[in-house]
Amino acid sequence: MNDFLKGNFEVKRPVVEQKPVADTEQKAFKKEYRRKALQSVGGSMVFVEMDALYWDGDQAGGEKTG
Amino acid sequence: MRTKQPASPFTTLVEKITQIGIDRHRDTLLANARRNAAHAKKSVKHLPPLSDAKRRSAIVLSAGPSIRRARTIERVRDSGYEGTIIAADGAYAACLRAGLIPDFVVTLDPHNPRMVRWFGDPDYEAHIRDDDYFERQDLDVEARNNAIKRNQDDMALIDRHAKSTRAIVASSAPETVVARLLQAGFESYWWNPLVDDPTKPGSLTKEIYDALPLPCLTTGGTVGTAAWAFAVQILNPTHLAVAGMDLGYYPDTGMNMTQTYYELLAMAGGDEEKVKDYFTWLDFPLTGVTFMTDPTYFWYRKNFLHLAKRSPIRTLNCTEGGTLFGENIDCVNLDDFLAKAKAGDRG
Repeated sequence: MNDFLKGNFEVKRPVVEQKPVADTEQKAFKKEYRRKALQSVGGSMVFVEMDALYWDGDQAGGEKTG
Repeated sequence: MRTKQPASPFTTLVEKITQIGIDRHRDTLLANARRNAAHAKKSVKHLPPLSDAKRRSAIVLSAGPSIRRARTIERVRDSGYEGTIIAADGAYAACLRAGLIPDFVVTLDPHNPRMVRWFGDPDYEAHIRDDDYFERQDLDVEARNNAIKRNQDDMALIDRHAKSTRAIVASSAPETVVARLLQAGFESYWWNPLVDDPTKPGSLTKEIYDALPLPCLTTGGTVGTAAWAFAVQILNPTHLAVAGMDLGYYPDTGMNMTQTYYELLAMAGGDEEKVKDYFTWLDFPLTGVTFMTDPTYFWYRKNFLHLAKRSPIRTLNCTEGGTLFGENIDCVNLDDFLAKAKAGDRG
């Protein structure tokens, strides 16, 4: 306990110093919250930019159009 | 034309969305494709041929806010349009309520159990707890207030009309949507989402295809673009329009009523001033009205513009607002498109 807070009397119950919430816990919570938020802005479907509009792999060698 | 340059957090986030999508959806897409193999009896290649009128002209109706504000569905209905009507799942029930029966309804989103709402959700009350996703859609304000009754009415309406519309179902569709389509009596035609280059090693598309060999269509990340791609590649109409494809918000829409506001607020550390850096604004060329858009819708827009350039068919955007304009896209008034379609001209 900080020396400046010492009293001139004895307390009945032992003083247990309250530790701050671990930084790592708080960071983990924020990270998870942010991850969920990011997921929600991620669109309805995966889309990786490419030129084809259509592909049908059952054609010989696949087919690309568009 | 005035265009505000995207702010840095906005641009950074847009660039991340592709990878976020892969991380988020990969396992679900494969699991859903494997599960849906039992249901996918017919693919989009097995669709019966269309009449001459329906091959000449097609319109894709998406569920953007203009669909209500511009009375798009009612105007299509009142015009006596004889071309093909393709509804994105989010616009389908609104079409039926207005008395317009689409030829096709396209569904894509793998989220379970959220997406079944578009077809009437038998477990709606359980599913809406702790989920205000639909309340942040601007499709229909009335629906927010009467959501439960509206869901029951939609179910009855969809049950009555399911046989008149063909369902174009992605292999990514969740169990609840597939069960509901079967229950309502839709005739379903299946396809795979073309999510990456299937010729490259480690391709997710190839993995999906190996699990369920169906023709693969691009999606641009969203069902409206998937419906457009279905029209381009499978129906191949002479003239193709889209409407309700705002990919943005009207100027009077508060940021807190946008679809990903709470997520963006979290990214801005809860700071309501900083969250503005996650939005951008674009002027719609026909009217000069400025529309706001968020990273997700901007990403959809970017993808659509990329695909539209590569489309053999020019796209007529009849949304009459929003952020979708660019190469190989003409922004036109909906009534002009409908009138020309009726005259057998450019419609």
